[in-house]
Amino acid sequence: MKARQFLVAASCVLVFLAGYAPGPAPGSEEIPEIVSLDGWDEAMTALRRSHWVLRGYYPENRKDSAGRTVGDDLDQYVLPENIVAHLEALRIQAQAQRDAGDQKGLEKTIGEARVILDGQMKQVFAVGSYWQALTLIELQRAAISPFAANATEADRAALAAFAGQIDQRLRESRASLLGSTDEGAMTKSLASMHSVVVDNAIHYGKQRGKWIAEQVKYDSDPNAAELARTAACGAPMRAEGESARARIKGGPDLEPFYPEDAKQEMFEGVVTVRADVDAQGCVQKVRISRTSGDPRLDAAALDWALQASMVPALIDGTPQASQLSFNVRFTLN
Amino acid sequence: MLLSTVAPANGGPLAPELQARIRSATFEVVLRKATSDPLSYERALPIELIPYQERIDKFHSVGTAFAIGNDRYVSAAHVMLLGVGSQFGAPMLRDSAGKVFALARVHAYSAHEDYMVFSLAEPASATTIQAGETPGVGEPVFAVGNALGEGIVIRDGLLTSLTPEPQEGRWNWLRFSAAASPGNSGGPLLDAGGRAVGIVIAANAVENLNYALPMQQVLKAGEGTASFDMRLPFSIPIVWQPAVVSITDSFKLPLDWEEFSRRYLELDLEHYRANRQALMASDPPFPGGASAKGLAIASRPKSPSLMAQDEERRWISQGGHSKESAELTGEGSVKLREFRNIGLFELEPGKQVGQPVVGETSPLLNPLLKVLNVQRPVGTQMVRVTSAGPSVTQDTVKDGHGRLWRRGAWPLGFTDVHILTMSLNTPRGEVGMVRIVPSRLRAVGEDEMSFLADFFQTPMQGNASQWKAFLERTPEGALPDGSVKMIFSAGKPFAFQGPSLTASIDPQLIEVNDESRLTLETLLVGDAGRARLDVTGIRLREQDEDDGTGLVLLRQPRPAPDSGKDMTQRWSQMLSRTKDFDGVERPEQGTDRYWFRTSIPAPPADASNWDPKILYEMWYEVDGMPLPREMKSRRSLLEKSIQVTESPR
Repeated sequence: MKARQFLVAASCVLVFLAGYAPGPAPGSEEIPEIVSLDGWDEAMTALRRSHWVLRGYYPENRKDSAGRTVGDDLDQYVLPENIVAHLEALRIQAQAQRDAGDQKGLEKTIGEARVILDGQMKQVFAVGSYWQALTLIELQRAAISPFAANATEADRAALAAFAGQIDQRLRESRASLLGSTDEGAMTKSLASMHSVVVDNAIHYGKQRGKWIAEQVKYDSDPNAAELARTAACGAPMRAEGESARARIKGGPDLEPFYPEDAKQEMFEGVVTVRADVDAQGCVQKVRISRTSGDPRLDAAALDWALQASMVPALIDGTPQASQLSFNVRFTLN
Repeated sequence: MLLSTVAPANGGPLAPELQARIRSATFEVVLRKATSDPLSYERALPIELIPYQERIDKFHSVGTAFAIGNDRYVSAAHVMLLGVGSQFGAPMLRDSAGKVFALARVHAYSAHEDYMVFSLAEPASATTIQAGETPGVGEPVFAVGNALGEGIVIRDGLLTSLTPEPQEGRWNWLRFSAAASPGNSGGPLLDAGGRAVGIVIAANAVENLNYALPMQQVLKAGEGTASFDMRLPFSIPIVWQPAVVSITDSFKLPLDWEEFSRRYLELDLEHYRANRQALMASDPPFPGGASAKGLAIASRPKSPSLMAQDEERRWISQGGHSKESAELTGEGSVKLREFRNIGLFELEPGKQVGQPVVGETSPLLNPLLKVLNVQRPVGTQMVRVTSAGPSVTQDTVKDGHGRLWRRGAWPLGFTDVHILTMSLNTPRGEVGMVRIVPSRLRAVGEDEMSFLADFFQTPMQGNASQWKAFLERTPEGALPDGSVKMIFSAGKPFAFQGPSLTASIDPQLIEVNDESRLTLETLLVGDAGRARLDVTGIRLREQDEDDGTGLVLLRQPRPAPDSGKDMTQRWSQMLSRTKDFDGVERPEQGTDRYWFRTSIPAPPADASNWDPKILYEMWYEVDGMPLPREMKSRRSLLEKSIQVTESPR
């Protein structure tokens, strides 16, 4: 999985945030073709529904650093009162034109409404994208906070400075994205907002890994997650050459183990796993030796490790049970 | 068939001439059958299934009596009472030749010992049966009577034991093994010499050990008094625990039959009322004391209900369980629920709605018969009654709240019962109570229903045009004291002014049209130790449907501290307008409906001493696609439109 690929994907699915999205986001809703009054009404309904759907994603009173809620943004950018009044006036005019058989006039009015409605649909997408970006940034910040507490003053200051830059960049991309209806300008603003999110995720991923390496000792957590084998092993592995420990010979493809939500939230990490391997090379039990800082990645690493194939330890020509530790790395590039 | 000549197990048979003398001194007690039948049935009655004898008989044979001489006749009290308040008139005696004799006067009566001594208008018997002393246990005895309406038969057995009457052991019942059937009641129990030693009272259902009252009890008491001295269980439908009451009373005899009946029914009603009053005064009296807790329970029946005690003695609204429902032509319907033997009905006459129904009693029963399932036994078959004639009671009574009830009473003719109804007019039709009682208990039954009327609660529902018609024929308005004024008419804003709430709903919130539906919930509320009727709930819908754009306002009294966690938690949410009552607009999952719920009035700025006695719960729902800010502005408009006027403290 390449970061670049993800970025492309993210620009399409940005609002499909598993943790918050019970259904398709309004921005991705099929926009009806507005060629008739019916299509017009459907578009209005879709726009009105977007208020409820987007608000439903976020806890009530969830505010950004400027003190706004998603509802505030929607009220400001999607169907504000002047637009509603304008559209209603056009709607009455269109109805009259249709009743009067004024086809030409009707098409003109519908055309005018279509421009407005299309612009409003884009605003739904813009508001959704901003709140999505904000959420992704905050998730990274929340995940690092347990390690920031024990970090050096200098490291913390550096991270705060980075967060300030991210906030500034997010404000700038928000300002150019929201309220604009120019498609080209919007695409550019959206791309810059995505790069803010990605830069943030990469930086926080690295910082988190660094602090974990500094702060967390191997096998220091008595409550670390573990997983024991429940199914029988396959054919025994033949030992090859004297070795005090088992060795990893291979395992299933790691990609399918990478949790989808962690991927979409751009969480990367290295998990250290300790495995009990018996004399047949069968992995009996796996345990987190050092966390990645993300329980989803930790759990995925244990799942994978239990399916890894091992060559057993061989001491004085006799296969032996042994323990070994290894890293499972989840990375987007 | 049964032998009329018997060979006693011990001692000889009664001599034939003695038997003849006994037969001529023994009579059937009969009631005259109704001569015309106002009922209609689902099909022609298969009268050929009724045995010939019974079919051609102009009388119902109900028991036995016998002559004791000096123009005196004796029977069981419970047999003779079948003629008190009966739709079939006074009881009469019939001799073996089929001649019928009218009663003259009642000379002695004992309710607890279960006998009556009376005289006839003309002498009926040349012979009499002499009274005798109670024979020894094990002696032969003969039960004489009109067994199962077959005429007078004599059956033998032994006197098996003497059983003290259960209340105080005031006398001993004679227990005997001679066969006895229901029609035997009131007949003589004879000794081997043909002397009456007892009056047959009751058959024992499980074994052949029947009961008779010793004749000596009757002789000892003499004449001149009707006496009542018994303990009976007593209950009324709205009180959980039945009482045991003593009925001790008497009046002077002789009286002619009509006067006796009248006096008897008066006394019955007096005792019923006194017992009811005592039972209502027992703990906890309504609506004060511990019962106040029950009044605070938020039960909101969607159908007619009675305010009644539950098993924990709390007074709560109880609608009973659903019994039956039926469609009527013109999209009407009739529904019957039952609560402790009281039928609670809702009648929607459908297309005929709006016609004034008060004052026309007879049309009410016919639709009710669709759900009452009244069947006439004919031989081995049951035939359903489909309509009845006019009511024998056609009046209106006001209950304690001033509601005007229409009363109806229909005798069934083929059996001695009446169907009693009490009904109230509502916008959509009629609601009320129905029950079936023995004719003798008609006065008590009617009195009890009038009493229950004070505890009857009903939602009043109708669309705008039904309400318009209702208010035109009911000038006092939705509550009988005229305390509710309202406008509910197509094209006009809904306005309501009641004792505890004022509301004026802008058309942009709910636009009233002919199909808009209004339901007023009228319930008893506890107010300063009294119960009064109030509109405790308003449900307004833009369309005549259960969902869609609408407003619901529900009166919620402060729950008692021990009302349980659910109630107190809900109340504190209402007080603080949090959680379920936060007023935040929300979509209804899976629909295009949006709603909010809150409480009114709003808590004051300084809520530290905010402890109101009542609050109103308010729901508002919109079918369509409003924007959240539009819902907010509707909410603030609603809050300005509704004032709780009941003192909140």
